[in-house]
Amino acid sequence: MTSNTERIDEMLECAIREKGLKNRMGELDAQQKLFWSPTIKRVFYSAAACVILVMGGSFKLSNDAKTAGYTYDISGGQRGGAAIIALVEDRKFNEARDMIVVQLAELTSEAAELEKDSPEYIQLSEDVDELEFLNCICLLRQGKYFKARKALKHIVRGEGIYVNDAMMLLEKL
Amino acid sequence: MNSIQRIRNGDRQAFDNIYLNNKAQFLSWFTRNCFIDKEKAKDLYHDACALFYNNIMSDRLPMSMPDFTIKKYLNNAGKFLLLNDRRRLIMRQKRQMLTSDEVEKNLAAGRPFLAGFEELNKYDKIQIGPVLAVDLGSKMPDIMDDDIDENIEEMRMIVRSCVDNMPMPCSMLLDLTVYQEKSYQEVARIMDYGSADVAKTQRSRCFNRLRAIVKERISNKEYDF
Repeated sequence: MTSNTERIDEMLECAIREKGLKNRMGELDAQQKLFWSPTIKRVFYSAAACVILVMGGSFKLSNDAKTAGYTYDISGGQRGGAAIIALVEDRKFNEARDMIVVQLAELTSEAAELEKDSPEYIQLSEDVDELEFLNCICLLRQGKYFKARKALKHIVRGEGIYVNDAMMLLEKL
Repeated sequence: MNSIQRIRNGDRQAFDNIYLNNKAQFLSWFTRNCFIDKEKAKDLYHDACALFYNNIMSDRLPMSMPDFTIKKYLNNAGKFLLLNDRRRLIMRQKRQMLTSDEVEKNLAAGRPFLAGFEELNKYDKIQIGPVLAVDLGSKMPDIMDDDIDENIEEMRMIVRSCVDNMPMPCSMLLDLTVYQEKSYQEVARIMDYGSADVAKTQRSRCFNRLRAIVKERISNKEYDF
C-alpha cells in the first residue's frame, strides 16, 4: 500500500510530465496550423494550379507534335536514308537520331572538300537537308514540341529542298 | 522496437508521430459521435495522449503492445475521460437535488451517448483494455463510489493547479528533470549551476516545496487518503 507521500509524489510527477507534454502538443498544433495557414494554402493551391496548367499544356503540345509527325509520310532513297527510315518506322527514334548525327558529320566533312557549285556538292547539300528533316520528324514523333519547332524553323531559314514541308508542319503545330 | 519502447527510452519523435498520426481521426470521431465541439475534442485528445504517455512512463502499459492498438487505446481513453466528465456533471446535479427530468434537460438534447444516468451506467461497463488506468494508483472508478471518485479528482486538480502555478526556476528545473529526463550535468549547464550536485539539490528543494504546498491544500480540504 502506497503512503500518502509516495502517492502525492507520483501525482506530482504525472502532473509535471503532463504540463511539459501539453506544451509540446501545443507546439505541434501550432506547427500544423502554420503549415495550413490561409496564405500558405493560397500559395499552395496557386502553385498546384500552375503545375496542372503547365502539365496540361505540355501534354497538349506533345500530342500536337506527335500528330503532325505521324501524319507526315516519310520516304527514303537517299544516302543512308533507308536504314534511318526503318528505325523511325520502328519508333527507335533515339537510335535514328544518333545515326543522323553520325551521317551529318560525315557529309559535312565530305562537303568541305568539294567546290560549292559542283553537282556533287549540291547532291550532298540535299542529303544534309534530308537528314535534318528526318531529325525533325523524329523529334515530332517523340512529342518534343519545342525542339521540333526550332529545328523546323532552322530548315525554313536554310531555304533547302524541304522548306515547304517544314512550313506545312509548322502550320500544324 | 515498437513505439511504446521508443517512447519509454526517451524518443520524443516517436510520441510526436503518434500524436500527429492519430489526431485527425480522433477529433473527427468525437465531434461527430459525441456532439462536442472541436476545441473540446482537442482538449480531450490532449488528455488522452497525456494519459497514454504517463501510463508508458509509469510502466503501466506492456512494452510489447503493438503499434496498431495505439489508435484504439487513445480512442478508448478519450471515451472514458469524456464519460468521467459527464458522470461528474450528473453527480453534481444529483447533489443539487435536481429531478431526473431537470438532469436530462440540462444535458443537451440529442446526445443518446450521454443522456441519462442509466445510459451512462451502461456505457461504464465498456471494456477498454486490460491496463488502462485513469486514476493514478487506483482501480477503475466505480460509478457508485462517488465520494472517493470526487476526492481523487479534486486532489488531482489541486496537484495540477500547484504545478501550473509553480514559479521559475522551479518550473523549468522540474520540467528538465521529470519531463525531459535530462541528466543533472545537462541541467547544471542549462540552468547555469556550478555542478550536477547543485542541480540535484535544487531539484530536491523545489520538489519538496511543491509537495508541501500540495499537502497543505489537500489537508485544508480534509481528505481521508
